[in-house]
Amino acid sequence: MKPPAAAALMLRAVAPRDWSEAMRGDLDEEFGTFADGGAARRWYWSQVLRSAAPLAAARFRLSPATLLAGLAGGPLPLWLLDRLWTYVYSQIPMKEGAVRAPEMLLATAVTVLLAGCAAGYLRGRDAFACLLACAGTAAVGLHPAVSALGVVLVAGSYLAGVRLGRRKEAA
Amino acid sequence: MPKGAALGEFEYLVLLAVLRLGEEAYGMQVRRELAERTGRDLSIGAVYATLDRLEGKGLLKAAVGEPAPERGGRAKRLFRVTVEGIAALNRTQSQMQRMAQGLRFPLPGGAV
Repeated sequence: MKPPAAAALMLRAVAPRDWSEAMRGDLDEEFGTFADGGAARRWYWSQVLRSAAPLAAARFRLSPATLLAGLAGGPLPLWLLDRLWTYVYSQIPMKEGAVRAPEMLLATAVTVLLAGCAAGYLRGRDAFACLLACAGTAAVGLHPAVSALGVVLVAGSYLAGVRLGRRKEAA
Repeated sequence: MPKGAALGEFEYLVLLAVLRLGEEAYGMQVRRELAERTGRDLSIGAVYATLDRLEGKGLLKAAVGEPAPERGGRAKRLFRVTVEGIAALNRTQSQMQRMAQGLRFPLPGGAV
């Protein structure tokens, strides 16, 4: 009987790196004491979900740079550009939705790519900044297609940044 | 008293749990001890966050234990109370006793 992989992954993403393995070990140890597999999985998920808030707070306390990387890599450039172009295009008749400013979309996409790549390059294997960036990007509230594209771009550029960072370390 | 020297209620309970557990004070065991003695069902994240905060204040010291198969081969993070931690516990207990002096428990008018 194994703990739910998705919950374990979520814990690994949110928990500070120094404690993540010990905490997973503790949860696995307790998980193994359950006779009923279903009850064990529900308990594991309950622990992970209830732990998310205190762990995230501890994460910010230990590494404020993580929060900054997440904000810089995702929602902030997107929101600023949207505000800028909304103002500019408010001076002329506007089209609806994502069709309105394809140049804005392209500029936003490039900014998100660069910021996500930088966040991944600098933060290494720390996936928490990427998680913040994706969540923030999706929550900005633009056209759903833009938000979804933004999340994909952030995740993809972040992973590319991580890979570049590793290649540099190996060289 | 310098800022950060005072213990919060939960910090006090966690320090006491670590002290009671001695050599076997690690996250899940602290959680079990608190559940047994206080009846509080805590998340492991809340326990770890408090343990880390206490370590940051110098009241606890952490060490890495041996990996075990029932833990998926992961080591325990063991804690012990430092000299400063003992002093903080004594100070907090003394403050609580002084505040409760002259009062008889259980206090009338409230449910236990």
